[in-house]
Amino acid sequence: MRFTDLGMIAQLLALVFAVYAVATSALGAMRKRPALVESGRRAVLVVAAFLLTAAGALIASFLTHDYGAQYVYQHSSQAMPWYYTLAAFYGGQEGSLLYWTMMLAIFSSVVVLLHRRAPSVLMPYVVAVLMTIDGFFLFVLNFATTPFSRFHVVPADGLGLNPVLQDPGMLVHPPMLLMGYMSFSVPFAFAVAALITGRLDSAWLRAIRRWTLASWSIQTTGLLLGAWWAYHVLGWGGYWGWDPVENAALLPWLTATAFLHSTMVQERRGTLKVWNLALIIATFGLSLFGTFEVRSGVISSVHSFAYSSIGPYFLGFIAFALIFSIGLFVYRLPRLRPEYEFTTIVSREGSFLVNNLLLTGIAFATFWGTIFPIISQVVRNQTMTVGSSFYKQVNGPLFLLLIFAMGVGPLLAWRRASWESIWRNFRWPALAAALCALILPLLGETNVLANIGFSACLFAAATIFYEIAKGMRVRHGHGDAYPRAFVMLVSRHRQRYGGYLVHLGLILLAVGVIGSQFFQVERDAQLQARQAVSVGGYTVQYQGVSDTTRNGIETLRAHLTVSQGGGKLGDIYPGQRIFPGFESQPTSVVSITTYNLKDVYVFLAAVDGATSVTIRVFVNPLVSLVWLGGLAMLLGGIVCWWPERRRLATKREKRQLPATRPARVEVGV
Amino acid sequence: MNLLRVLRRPSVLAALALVLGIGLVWGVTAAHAAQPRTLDQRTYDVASQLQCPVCNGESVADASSEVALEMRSVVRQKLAAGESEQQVLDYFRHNYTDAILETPPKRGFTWLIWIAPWAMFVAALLLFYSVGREWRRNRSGSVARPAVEVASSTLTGDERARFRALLQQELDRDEGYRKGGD
Repeated sequence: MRFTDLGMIAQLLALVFAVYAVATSALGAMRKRPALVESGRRAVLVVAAFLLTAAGALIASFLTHDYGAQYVYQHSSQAMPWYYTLAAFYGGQEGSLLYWTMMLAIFSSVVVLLHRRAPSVLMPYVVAVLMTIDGFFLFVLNFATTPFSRFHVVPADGLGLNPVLQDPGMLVHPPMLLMGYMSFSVPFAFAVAALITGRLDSAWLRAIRRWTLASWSIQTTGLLLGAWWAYHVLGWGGYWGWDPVENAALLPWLTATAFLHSTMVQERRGTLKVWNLALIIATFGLSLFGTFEVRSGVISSVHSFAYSSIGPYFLGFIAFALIFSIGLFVYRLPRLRPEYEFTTIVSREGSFLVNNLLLTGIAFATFWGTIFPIISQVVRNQTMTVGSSFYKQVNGPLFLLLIFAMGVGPLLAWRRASWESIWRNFRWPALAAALCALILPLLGETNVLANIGFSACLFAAATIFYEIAKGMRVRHGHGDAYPRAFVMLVSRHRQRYGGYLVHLGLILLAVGVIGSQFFQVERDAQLQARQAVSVGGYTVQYQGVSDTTRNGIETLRAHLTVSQGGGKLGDIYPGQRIFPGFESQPTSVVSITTYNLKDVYVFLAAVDGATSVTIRVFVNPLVSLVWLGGLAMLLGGIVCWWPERRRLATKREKRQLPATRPARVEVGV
Repeated sequence: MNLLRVLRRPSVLAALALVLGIGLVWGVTAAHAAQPRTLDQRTYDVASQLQCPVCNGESVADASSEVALEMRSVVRQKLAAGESEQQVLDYFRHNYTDAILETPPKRGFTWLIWIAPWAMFVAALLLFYSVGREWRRNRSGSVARPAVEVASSTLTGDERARFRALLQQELDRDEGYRKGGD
């Protein structure tokens, strides 16, 4: 038996068990048969086991270079090193769908195992929803586009992987993003289960929040890796091009971020239930849309290498999922009454509303820009592109407001913030921002938009530091030394301080974006030997070119030196790689060197004979902050998500509390 | 009116003065620093408004294809020869139709793309406003809700800090219990 046969059988059996899991879970829940429910849960583990087998079979086909398998033939070749051969697993549509399906089965198993003792009314429906989604993907894998189909005649060698994908970033970026898309299924399953049973209690809220946070962190990683890859490989000097596929990945991230904020309102104030459920449903719909878009090629994008004809299945499933959940939603509306009414917009919950308005606004604008070419095609039969300047003009101001709201929100009190508390909390941050706004132009930064952006960032950062300092002072007042006070504060209030860390990360990222957006300098130059070009204060001089071939891959490298004000800073070697079989598609080796937060980014556009090269030089200020900020966001997400230890001191602390809940007191936490 | 009272406070006046000062400094420095843009910058500006015809979703400024390279040099030559940015754009639009533009123009059918996000945003704001008015009406109608501001103004800083710590402890314990319940 060949590995492909094993894979074929495994994925067919996985489909059978997925259907079985849906049927037994739903039936068991409706008829109240615990044995059926238990059987359904176990079936999830079986599905995961079969999918792991199928994935293992595909990997084995790759590693044994079984070119009789069409998928292996199309995406790998003998010349590829083993790690790219492995990465070819998700290099094409069928494999990435298999990966998606397998990861969902694994996540479903984790859900089943982690929530063993969760309320029994909810879990069967969660399982049923997860397995319905997985079942759909398994159906597509089995009957529409299988990774295990074979040729009658076995070719000697494969076609190889698209050279753009043969990059270390590609080993992690696609699996991360696909995993991110996939993982939004879990909060969706919890939401649907809650809609079916009508149970939206705090245990449910906690579960759905933690799962969303996990998905959010995965998606954040995927987005950052994508930006990193674009910056280091594509050679256009930027990291985010508002490409349709990038947008599609950003969309569920935006709505999930909105959800993570507005659930806090639901947790504390018992309101916004309807809105939160809508956000989760939208997030799932958008992540299906994203998976579909990467794979369908309906919109022209730099990701167009992976494209196919399974679009109708996906559109059908998206429509089914949306109609089903919206129907449920409308049916359950009467149950979703808020327990409290809002009092005023100048309050924490009000600021969360503003946050949600902005995030969904950005999501809408991005979605609109992404699908507008399709609308134009259908309505006017006119092709067009919606490029980055649209997003910059529309999303830019919204992001600016978001940063500002990010500074204001966390310091407003729940229910209603008094003017006194606002003045008390915001005078120093506002003063800092104002001074920043005054000093920057005097230092020579005359770009008004950039200055507004920088000042808003400083304001938001200052409010966070002010808040942390305040918390530390309170702890210090209780006898902790300052460093200990800080550690205690963060470890005791992981969610809050993790959130602040995410905010600080986003602020750093925003500073990086503003810097590289407004102060990027770019220049094309064709250089003869010893000729130099001067860009943004740096001088790049051409020295020579080298040409080497290893493992069939030809590498051209230009030797250039970077200097500033006469002093030499270093040698750089931007280059091009030409892969066998892809001679017309050289991939670039961009040279990026960072001097004092300024990236000197050199891209070798062409080698014109032995004596001359064409290069593009960018000087990108502050891009390092984008990566640093991204890391901080990720770290913050993990801090929020990290389970807190059960506290032994709970009993002792309880005695010190007054009899009444002081929760109504305006304290500006 | 409430707003007027707020406006008369010294703190608010000081803030307003500061904002005005910043505006002044920005205006003056921006006016001073308005230098003629370099040819590099103008070329980049025009090129980033053109779509590379043979690439997938990259502008002429960003793309590394030979067509893009050539188009960039055409833009540069035309600008150097004294044409305005608009003239260069019009030249490309004349040769390639509107599809060459990186972002659709703000007129006709494609005006929709620009107006829709803002229209949605304004609609959401209006919705907000109307919901907010409803909240306020509800609040003035109900007697049961305590006046929260009174509590805040009678607390001293120390008491507030103590309550905040207590509240946080309590909220944390809530979290702890909930986790235990899982």
